[in-house]
Amino acid sequence: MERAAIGHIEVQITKRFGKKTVLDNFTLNVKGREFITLLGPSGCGKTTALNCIAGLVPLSEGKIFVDGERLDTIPPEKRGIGMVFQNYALFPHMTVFKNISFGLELQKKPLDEVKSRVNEVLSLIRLQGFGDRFPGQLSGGQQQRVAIARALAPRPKLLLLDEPLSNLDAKLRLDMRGELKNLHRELGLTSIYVTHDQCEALSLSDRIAVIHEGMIQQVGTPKEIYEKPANLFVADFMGCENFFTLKVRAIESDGKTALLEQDGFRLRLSNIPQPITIGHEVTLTIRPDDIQVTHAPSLGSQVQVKEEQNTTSGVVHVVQYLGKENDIEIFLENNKKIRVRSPEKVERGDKVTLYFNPEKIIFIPKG
Amino acid sequence: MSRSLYFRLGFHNLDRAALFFLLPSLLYLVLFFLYPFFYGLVLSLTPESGKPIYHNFYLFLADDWQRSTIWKTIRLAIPITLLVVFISVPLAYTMRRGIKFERLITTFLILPVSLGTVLIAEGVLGFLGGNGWFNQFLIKIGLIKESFRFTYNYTGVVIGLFLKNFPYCFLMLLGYVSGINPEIEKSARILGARPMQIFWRIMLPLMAPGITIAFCLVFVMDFAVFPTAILLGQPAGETRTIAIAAYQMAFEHYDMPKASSIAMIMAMTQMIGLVTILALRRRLYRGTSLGITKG
Repeated sequence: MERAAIGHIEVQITKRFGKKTVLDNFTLNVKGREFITLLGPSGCGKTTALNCIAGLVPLSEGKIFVDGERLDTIPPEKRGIGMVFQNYALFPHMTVFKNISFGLELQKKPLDEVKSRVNEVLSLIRLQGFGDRFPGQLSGGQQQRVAIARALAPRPKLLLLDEPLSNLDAKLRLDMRGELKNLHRELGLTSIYVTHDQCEALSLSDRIAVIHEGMIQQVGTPKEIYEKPANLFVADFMGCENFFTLKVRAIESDGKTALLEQDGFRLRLSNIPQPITIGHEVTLTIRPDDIQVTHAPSLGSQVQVKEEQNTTSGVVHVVQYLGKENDIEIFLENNKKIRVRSPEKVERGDKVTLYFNPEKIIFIPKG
Repeated sequence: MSRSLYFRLGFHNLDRAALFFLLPSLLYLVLFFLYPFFYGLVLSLTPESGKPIYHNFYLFLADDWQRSTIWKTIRLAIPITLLVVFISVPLAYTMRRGIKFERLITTFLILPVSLGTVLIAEGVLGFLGGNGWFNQFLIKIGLIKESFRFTYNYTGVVIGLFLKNFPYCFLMLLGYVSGINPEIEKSARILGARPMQIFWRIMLPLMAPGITIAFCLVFVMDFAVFPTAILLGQPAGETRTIAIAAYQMAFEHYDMPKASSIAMIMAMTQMIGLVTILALRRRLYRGTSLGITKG
């Protein structure tokens, strides 16, 4: 398939519904051929942003440019955008072929070109020979592939995807994720993808924009977002479930290693990425998979040597069996609840020792 | 019942409890539909002694004055049904995503339904009658010299039936259109379809099953017109519908067999109308309609 236009997008929009501001000076630059994901919980404004770009919702303020040309003043049917919806939104009274050719026929393309393009996208989504079927005769995954083909057929400058995998079951979702990634690699089409699923965002995107209450919290590569969340919200949304606010008790001579403590919970960390002062508070977090849990040794055991640094003890409260590992809720001695994911076999009421690997601890910037 | 028929009808899947709970509705169907229908059918085929079995039908169809009621009824039912549906479709379509004062508008529309035929007829007479407000107003402003005749004729019945049946049709279609997944329309828009193209190529085909059902119901209601044709029309002349003919035969001539035969003819004409509508719909649009929302 021939390459579409570059599709460099600049968005700077504000959207209000009545008195409620849904998007507050939402600013986003998408490079040509980039796959960017708007990630956030439901109601954060990500779908509204997508609808604004598509033209389905008028802007309250702001502008949208594609390759330097103003887009927001053009009616949606002339924007040359492809869009895929969560519930497929296929035309149920038309065959797969007619669904895909709909956009091409509106462009008044000659019949043989329409035919060859439909066949081209049908083979792209590996549904050759399905042209005569009606959408109702296809499975959910096939319907979503037809929806993608229908969006691609008119060769849009930009592809918008609104939670396209949310209606599929878990296994199919994984397969389709792979297919989407493949399609993007083959076509190099600028894509804006909306989801609330962090796994989808991490696996598909070149960059992710995390959105909360109509404002972009952080934009970055999946690695940046995952490893260096810019604030508490991003960290929480990206699966860091254990948060600590500790006071700096002592700083060592190198200026970067410090002893942090609060309510008897103590950590000694080096390479602290932010300036620290004794008596000040720092917020840090660690993912459930990055905490090691072992049964508390009986007194006099050899393992106790390790106890010195960055370990603490607690009591198991809830264990959820997940197959490969367990999801364990543990109460520390200071009654703080910690979530750990570990293959260690523990049961409710067990006394355990937790080890916090200092390299896995993430500092959350203030503000 | 033979055993194979018992299985073919799927009765082996019905347990006793299901049959028990089905009983009230079956009883209703038998008592108030099947029994009267077959009673009437047998009655209509029981002419005076010595005449052939179809005699009552022959008498009705051979008599020009009686036979003309079929045409008079069709002449009312089809145009009114078309009028009601053609006004309801665009209105329901524009209101499909809700508009301002929708509740108020809907309330006004439901009002005629709850008031009943006679009150509507009274209202039309008061407003559009020979000395009604509308005529008086037109005379006052000098637009006309003599009252315009809206009532006691064909026009009167058209107005009365329209007021009575329009709300049914509109509300039914509104429910149907708002049930169509709005993203279907959005995706058509983004693929480059202008609003009119969306209406003709996407939404109208999707609405077709709903329109057909609405059309059928309004047609049946219009075809059975009786009080409106008497109160607002000319029941001895151009609006002497088939229902009036049946009524007169039954309660003025007290000839139940002949009245039954008229009712049978009425039912058959209605059936022909309905079958025609459904056949037309099948020719126009194929494929499924509303939902392919799996998963």
